[in-house]
Amino acid sequence: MELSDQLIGFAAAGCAVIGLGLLFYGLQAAEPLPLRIAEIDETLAGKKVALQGTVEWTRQAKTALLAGLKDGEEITVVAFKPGEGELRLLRKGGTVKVIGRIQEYRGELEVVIERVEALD
Amino acid sequence: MKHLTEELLWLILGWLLGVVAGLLPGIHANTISFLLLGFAANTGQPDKWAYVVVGMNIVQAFVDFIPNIFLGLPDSEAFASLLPGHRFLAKGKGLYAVRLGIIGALSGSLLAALLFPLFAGFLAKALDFVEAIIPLALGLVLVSLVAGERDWKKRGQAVAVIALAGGFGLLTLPSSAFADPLFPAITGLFGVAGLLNGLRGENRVPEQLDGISPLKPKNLLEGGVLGSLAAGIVALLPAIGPGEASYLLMKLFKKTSASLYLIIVGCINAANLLFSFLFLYLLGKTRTGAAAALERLGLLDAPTLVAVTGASLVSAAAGAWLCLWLAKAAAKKISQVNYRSLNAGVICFLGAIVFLLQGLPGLLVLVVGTAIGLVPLAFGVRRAHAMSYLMVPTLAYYLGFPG
Repeated sequence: MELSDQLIGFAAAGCAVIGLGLLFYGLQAAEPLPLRIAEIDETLAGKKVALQGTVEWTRQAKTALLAGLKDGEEITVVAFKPGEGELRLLRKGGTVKVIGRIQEYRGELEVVIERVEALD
Repeated sequence: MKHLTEELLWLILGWLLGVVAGLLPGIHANTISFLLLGFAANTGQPDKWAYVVVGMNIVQAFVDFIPNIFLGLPDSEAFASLLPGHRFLAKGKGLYAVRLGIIGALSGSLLAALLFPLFAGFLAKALDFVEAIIPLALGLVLVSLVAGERDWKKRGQAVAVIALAGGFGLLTLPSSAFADPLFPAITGLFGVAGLLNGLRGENRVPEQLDGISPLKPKNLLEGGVLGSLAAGIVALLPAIGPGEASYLLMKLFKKTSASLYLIIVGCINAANLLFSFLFLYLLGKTRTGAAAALERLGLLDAPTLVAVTGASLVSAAAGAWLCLWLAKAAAKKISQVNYRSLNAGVICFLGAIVFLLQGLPGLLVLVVGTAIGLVPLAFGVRRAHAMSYLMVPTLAYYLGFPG
């Protein structure tokens, strides 16, 4: 058996095909559920969701930025150690898309932000 | 499909950075990762940067073979004491050595992905036990490294190297006087010391041939299986590197083939990265710089682990081709350059990088690390003993010594 370019190419192609399959599947599974706030309930705790709405209020806590997101109904969204981008986008009156995970905190459902995108 | 294309573009950025990190000694993907995290925090797209980090680290695991094999070849009269990769270079087979590393890393990437469920199951059952035996395992590794030397004189010299490097680690790692002593210390112990040793060698390396490269299927199978298992151990045990794990495996299974060694090292390099992502997901613990970067980006869920594993395999394929292409170019040129000047230039480059990043304290660590790194070369014992720089402080930590 020779360690030729062809053999390396064959092994690399195998890696690439399996890798693309896993990447595609993982990306599909990691895709957030597009929801309206009214649709959120306890059964969705831990799920990744995408919400769109207007920022009604913001409050800076010690290690997190909290904001109220409203699309008719309202939910609290939380950015831990927010970066400049989140601080810029999460301002009162801004229309944003929030991607994050639903969690229960002191009996209330809230969304822990993974990403914020501007819509206006 | 749009997302797949998007992630692939981010991956390609990672591959390019991986080539830079792999080809330039002293620029590690970890250094670039932590610079990138600054950008990532401001973009609000941590998941995209995760693919850059993954692509860069995997490609670097491949491209690293090029400087490791083509630089630092010492006097070829001391053939018996050469590192396996340098033995091939001295015989004009540097490209063959790189090919062995590449096929090892490809098999390691595939096998690690296949072994994920098995390893996850093992971790769930045995983690407490493994954590409890870490000090014993580290102690056994040190004893095995010493016992592996050929006579009592060499064993005594090995103990001296372990004491020096270990003491150096105990002094610098917990000290607040140094921002990040690990980078200059490892660069000195292994990088600059090896390159300085290379200055003693001839001014030209033999012409590198791209001839027949035999591969024993048995070696590939053994290397892949042993390397993947060893990568699991490296991922579990802190302070044990691919070199030490490969050496111990070879000793344990009474193997002496330099080809098998290179396949195992390649396999461990790649598989260790994949296992560290699994380790992060299952336990929230970071055993590699890449996993630490992913943790800081906050990416811990199952779908992301699957996507990151896929991205790692695609990057392994890209890393194999990039490494092969670059190694062919290096093999053509290496016999034409002034080899001593090349090694000397790289030493100056490393000194400048350490000074720029860490100033005089970093340079001091680099110089002391280099001096200690030269000791095993002078004694003619294994350079792996210098990894005691990490192993001894880790052992002290697990035994409860303050530090």
